[in-house]
Amino acid sequence: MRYIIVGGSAAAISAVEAIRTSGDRADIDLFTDEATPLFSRVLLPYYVAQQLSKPLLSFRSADFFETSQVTPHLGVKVEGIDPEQKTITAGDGNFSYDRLLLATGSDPIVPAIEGVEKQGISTLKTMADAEQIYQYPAKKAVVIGAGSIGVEAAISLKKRGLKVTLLEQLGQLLPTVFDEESAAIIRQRVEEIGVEVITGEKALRFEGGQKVERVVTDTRVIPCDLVVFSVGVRPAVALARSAGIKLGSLGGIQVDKTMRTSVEDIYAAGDVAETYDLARGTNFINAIWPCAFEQGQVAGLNMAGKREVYEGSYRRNSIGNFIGIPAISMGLTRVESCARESATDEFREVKRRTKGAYRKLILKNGRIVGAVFVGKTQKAGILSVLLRKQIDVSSAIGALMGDNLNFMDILPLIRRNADCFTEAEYKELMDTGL
Amino acid sequence: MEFIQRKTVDQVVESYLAKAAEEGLPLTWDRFEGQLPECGFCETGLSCRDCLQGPCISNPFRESNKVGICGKDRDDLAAQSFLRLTLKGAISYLDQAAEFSRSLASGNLKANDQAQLNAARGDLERLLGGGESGRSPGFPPLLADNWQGLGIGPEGTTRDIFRAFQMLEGGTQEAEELILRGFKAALLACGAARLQGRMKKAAFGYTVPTAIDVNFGVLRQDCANVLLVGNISPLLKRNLLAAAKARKINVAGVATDILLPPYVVSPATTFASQEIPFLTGAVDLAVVGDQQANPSLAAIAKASGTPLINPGSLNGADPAGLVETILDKAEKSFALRGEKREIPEVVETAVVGFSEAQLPAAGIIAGLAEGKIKGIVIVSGSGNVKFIQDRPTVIMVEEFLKRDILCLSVGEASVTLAKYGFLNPAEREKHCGAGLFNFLSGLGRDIPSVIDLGRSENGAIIELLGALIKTGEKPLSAYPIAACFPEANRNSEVVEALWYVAHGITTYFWPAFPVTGSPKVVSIFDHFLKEKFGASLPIQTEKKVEPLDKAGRILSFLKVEGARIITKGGHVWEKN
Amino acid sequence: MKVLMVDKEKCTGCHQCELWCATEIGSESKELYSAINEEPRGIPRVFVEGKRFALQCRHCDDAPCMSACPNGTMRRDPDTGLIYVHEPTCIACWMCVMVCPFGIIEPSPALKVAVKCDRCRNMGYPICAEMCPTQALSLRDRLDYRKKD
Repeated sequence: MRYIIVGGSAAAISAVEAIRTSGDRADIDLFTDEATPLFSRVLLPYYVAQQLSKPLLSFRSADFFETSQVTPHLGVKVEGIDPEQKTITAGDGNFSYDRLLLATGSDPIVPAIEGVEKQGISTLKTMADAEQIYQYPAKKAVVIGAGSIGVEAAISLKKRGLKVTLLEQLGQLLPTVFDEESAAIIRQRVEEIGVEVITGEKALRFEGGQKVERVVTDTRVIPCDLVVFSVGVRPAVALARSAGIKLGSLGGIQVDKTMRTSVEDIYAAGDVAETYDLARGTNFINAIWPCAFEQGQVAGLNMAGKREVYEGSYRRNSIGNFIGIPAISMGLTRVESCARESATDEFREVKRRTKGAYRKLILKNGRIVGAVFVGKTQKAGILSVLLRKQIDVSSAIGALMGDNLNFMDILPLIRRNADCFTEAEYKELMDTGL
Repeated sequence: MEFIQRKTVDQVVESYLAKAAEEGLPLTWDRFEGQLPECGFCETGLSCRDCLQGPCISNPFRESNKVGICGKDRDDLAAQSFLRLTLKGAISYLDQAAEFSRSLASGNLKANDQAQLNAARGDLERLLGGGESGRSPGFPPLLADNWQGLGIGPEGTTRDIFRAFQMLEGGTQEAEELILRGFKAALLACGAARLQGRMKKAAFGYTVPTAIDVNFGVLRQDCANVLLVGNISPLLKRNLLAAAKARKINVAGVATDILLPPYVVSPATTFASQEIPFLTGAVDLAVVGDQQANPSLAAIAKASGTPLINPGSLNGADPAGLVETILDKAEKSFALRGEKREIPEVVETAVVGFSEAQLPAAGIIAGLAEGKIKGIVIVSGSGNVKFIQDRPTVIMVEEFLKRDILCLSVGEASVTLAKYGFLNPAEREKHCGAGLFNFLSGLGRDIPSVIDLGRSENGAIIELLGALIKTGEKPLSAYPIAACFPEANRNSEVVEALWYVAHGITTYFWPAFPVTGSPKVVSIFDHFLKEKFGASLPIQTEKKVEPLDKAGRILSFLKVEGARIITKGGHVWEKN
Repeated sequence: MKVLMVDKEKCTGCHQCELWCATEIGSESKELYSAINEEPRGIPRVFVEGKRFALQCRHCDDAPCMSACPNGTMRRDPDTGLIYVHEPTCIACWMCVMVCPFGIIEPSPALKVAVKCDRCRNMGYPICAEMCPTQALSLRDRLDYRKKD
């Protein structure tokens, strides 16, 4: 048996770990176009903010490949796959595989805006991007796109002493991650840090000479010498497409519950994969760290011949200490984004705003499909079980919205819905003495 | 968790620990270990059971239960936990004095000085009732004026105790106010104790320094032994002693008043080891009081076949016949139990019962001025299982005496020290520095190293302190004087400590009051008290401090050179 | 693998485990009085909640906190199987907080780390069980039902 893994981030590494913990000692070759191995993309803003040095960006220790008996091919781009011959072409050679994992991740979207090729305009996705932004001599930055990375990048640059404008074409910060109300709370905090936030405006063109000097929107001109794009990502499917692997309707690699693609012995996991979204009840690409990690694990186990089923993904985002107010959200953020599958579907939002805290549940037929916590977030994880298993929580809304929410509150729900859980899951939850 | 390895330095007691273990009789130390770990919230004063909505705690490490249901925060809880102790402690003094006064009224004792007795009883009546506003009878004006200014001049039970008890249940008083309320109650008790002392003198006659025997050897092999434990009506005790003498029955005691002129109750041991005499087989009957008599005595008496008599019970025996009943039963028990008893032959001589009559205030002040004595330390406290029995008291007093500190001991601390010869005049030279030795020699013959002033409820120490203030015309805070409770356990000892502070004497009390959960209240005991009384009661928060370091802390406060003082992280010897 | 069991008949909800956990594990001084005065205050790793029940990290076999941690700060001790926070690398992103089904990971904004029970893995025996006055908490063997085939 010989494994090849394409990619070097969460999904790839978690697949390696899954293969090894299953007891399989077969050869593993890992190809990644990043020259720096094992760094955590999520942490790049921390690097830019000078809060973490390069070694601290690693999510596994330097001897990971050695101890996991993996042959790494760093900075090597995989050019093609031959599913018939079960080989890949990379660098100057062909490598054969028995099972292949595509954990190629995603590419940052760079909109075709006039002047986008100017110097000083970058995305923040790779180590090279981060390095470039870190080194670039700038005084005034514009961050375009106020998603998680955008907001964190803006704050990072602010912490570095730059004057920063955060530009978002939709009407709020973090539009895919938080609802208006929670976003407003976070926006206030971001503005307190000193970032200028502009929403509902679109960058029309970049002006300047060789280097960028201005961002022009429909109503204003923002002088700057650095622009960071963070308007989202799309799955990096070029390799898969060329190999004839079937893509899903959203443009990601289509996989089954074992993370296998349409092609025998080729698996996919992470940002590149299109999976069933538990909250949406339909396929989706949840390009986030925990999903990549979980999918990598399922893929790895199945590649190693174990039978493991991926129950599905759901979005999870946490605004950590970086911004200064804890806020998390999972699943959907507003009723309007819920897909109505049948006429009888009933949607409901439950909100509670107290001093310094905000909490919202989005319910579909009494089941949690989304949750937002701002301020007090500690017990939020308790809801993740209920969301994941789509348990009817109608009888427990009061407790779930209360300040003293605790695990005991959901025990009756778990008991009542014992058959939603595997034996192992159920026992783990119940194995407290209760 | 601290499991005390060694339980006691009293070798006789220690030898009985093994015996008790063999017989499967749990003693106070075993029960203490069974209680570990003790409740951290109660220990730090962060718990409350004052109403039926609770119980509540203030959790120092969580936001959700930081404040009690009614809104008591940690400062309220700690201050109230302290106030609760003082009120209970004050009531114990008031009750003893009231009980004594009642017994004297109904008994047919021919008083030594009826006029003085009537006067003292009258004063006590006022204290027990509403009292008179603005009156602190008999205290030196220097003190009384300060107390009046602070609003803590004792008035009467209904004003000082009843009022304060209400504050445990509601109100928005500041912690400072609650602490001062505790002082007010304590000072009321102080007045009652002094009146009890005066009643005792008027009824039975003055006590004079008396040589007595102390320790297990006071139990007798050849006759019935009656053991008196805890606080028992002085009149009953005196009547019992008189009748027992006539009937050749031996009466010994534990944690009870020793001198009832002209009779003596010889202490068989001290508070913490009160169960041990029962293990000798030589206690034929025990009369059990309330305070200081441990409920465990019921079980240990049952195991050793010793009848118990509770003179204070509701349908108690006819007081007139009680003495005869006790002695009859004791004789019967002795006859039944025979002479199969093992009494450790350990006995120490002690001279007890000093008062301001033998300790002229002028002489003490002169002794300090001349440098014969470097300071004064009042030693009190009855024993606490948290500490190795007797060890802190003995080591600290040894250190004080060596450095020419005049040690005045009160209550059980005297008996503790007596067991080790500190009250034996023959041993004076061994303990005392040259200056102190000379000073004590100047007071008369047969003066022991440590001067016993009797139990606090007899007020001799208060009379002496009053005399020092009147004679010196200065507040006591102007002198190198401190009070120290090396191993205290009871509410009444907390109250006694407050007397000293209110008199201007900085007081060191072990263990820490249950207030350590509130940094604010801890600071009140230091800075606020110092501001108000010129003396503080620094809360001793560290758990493991060697007695020598505790002594050093006090000596350095007294500005005695050469004392060992502790610094954080290790011991440092000050330059000699 | 041993698991910390709570006997709900014995748990009186006295909060002693929280108190001593915060003192022994969460404070610098390890002494209650000083711990009360410390800033930032010690954080108990055990939660007494609901109807009298002391809950701490279950050290899940399939641990969501470990999948969610973006830089490998949440680690499993290979010898004991216990999961712990490798504090020097924690970036306080609270991803683990978000996914813990028991809600026992506490974000400490003051320390900028996620705080959770490591079952006193360096002390031999969990302090909460040791200090529990009713012995409601005890370490017991866990059935190996999670073993995947």
